[in-house]
Amino acid sequence: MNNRIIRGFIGIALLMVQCQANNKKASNINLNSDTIVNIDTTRIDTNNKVTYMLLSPNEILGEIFSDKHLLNIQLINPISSAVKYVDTKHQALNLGVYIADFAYLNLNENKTNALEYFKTIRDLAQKINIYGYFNEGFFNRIEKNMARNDSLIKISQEMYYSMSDLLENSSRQNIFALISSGALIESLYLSSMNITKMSEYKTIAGKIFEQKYIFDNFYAFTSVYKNDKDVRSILRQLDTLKKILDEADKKSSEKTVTQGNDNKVIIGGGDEIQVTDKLFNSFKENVIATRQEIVSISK
Amino acid sequence: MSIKRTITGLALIFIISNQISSQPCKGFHESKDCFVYIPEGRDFKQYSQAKSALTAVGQKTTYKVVLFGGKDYILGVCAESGYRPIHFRIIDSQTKKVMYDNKDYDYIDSFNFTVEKTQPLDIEVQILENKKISVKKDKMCVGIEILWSTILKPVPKK
Repeated sequence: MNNRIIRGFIGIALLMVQCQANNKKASNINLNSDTIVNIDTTRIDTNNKVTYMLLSPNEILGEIFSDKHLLNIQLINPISSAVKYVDTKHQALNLGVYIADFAYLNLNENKTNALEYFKTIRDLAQKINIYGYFNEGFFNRIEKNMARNDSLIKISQEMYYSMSDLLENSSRQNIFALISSGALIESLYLSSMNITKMSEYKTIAGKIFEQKYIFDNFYAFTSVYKNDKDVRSILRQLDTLKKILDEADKKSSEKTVTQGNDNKVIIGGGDEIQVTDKLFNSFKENVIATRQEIVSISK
Repeated sequence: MSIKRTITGLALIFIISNQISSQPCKGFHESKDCFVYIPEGRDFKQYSQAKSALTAVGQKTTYKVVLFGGKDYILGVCAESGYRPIHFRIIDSQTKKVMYDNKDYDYIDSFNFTVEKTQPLDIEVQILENKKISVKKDKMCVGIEILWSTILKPVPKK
């Protein structure tokens, strides 16, 4: 009996070491620049590490909706769905979805729902073994700052990045790839569905398509973990969206660096993305379908 | 008794292996070695995830970032005490054109600038050899932080 227990422990130990080694292999790939430019052509430049500085849903939504926007609570994923996500893939993807919903509520200063969404985030995070951040102290901090929207937005941003750090430090970036996929899709979904006035349609549609660059970086980061079957399946869903974003025409002007008033350096020029109604509608349809697959109850 | 010992031993192995796998530079960008000067009267906020990484002298690290247009930014880099100069360049991700090189500004640690249109940029950071340093390490921490603010409009003359 005693031997069985010891053998069992050794078995678990070997499995865990193996899992860590596999994860490390994936994270090491991330460090080599040329693998990211073209994932299928692995050229390793050992003298150049590449790191992605990804943006949180707060920053993406805050950029698209620079003015306070009318909140449409019907759009966000109901918290009642959270208990139905039983596998790690759906738990991680929907954790990202709820983080984006939490950001959306905070940007719109909807404090009543924000706390409930935060509790859902904490519960899902614990289900996928993200500990060490959602302690009582952090929860108290959220409650204390409920009245101050700026602080809440900052805390929400900090929470996303801390989660990324925690998963990076435990070589579980594949899980973060899933969380950030859910967060990005939900951010794009909320943005696309929130255009209510024709007068703002062109501006917001343009800003949504400017997220193409964020999407490209995010896609390259996620592709590093494509050995993970769950990551691979979400990448397949994102492929069509990537193609649509790539289809947009651009008005390009040469990039320049000039010195303006007060010796201020200005990086000027670049691309102005042209969005047609047809392209935007195709993008919106695809975002709705992808988001629906994520939030649908896992079988 | 022997089971207890075995379990304790295995638990220790797990803890040690997790410690080894964790990042030695975690939170370095928040340390006293990293300080970004913010101009008086301006409200700059954190932009994207500040990063810390383990590096070596001469090793280049490229940070891929997208900067939104119509904003002022401060880019700050830092390294462990004594590991100076830090060379950084801002490179256009698409054309690979160098937009800024701090070599031309005496390897200053931070750079304030404005971006007109949203664009993807590569920030390449490298600690250069410093022969004056007394204690040399094979590996050291480097940090990077980006702050943003809305563009400050010029005050109209009265």
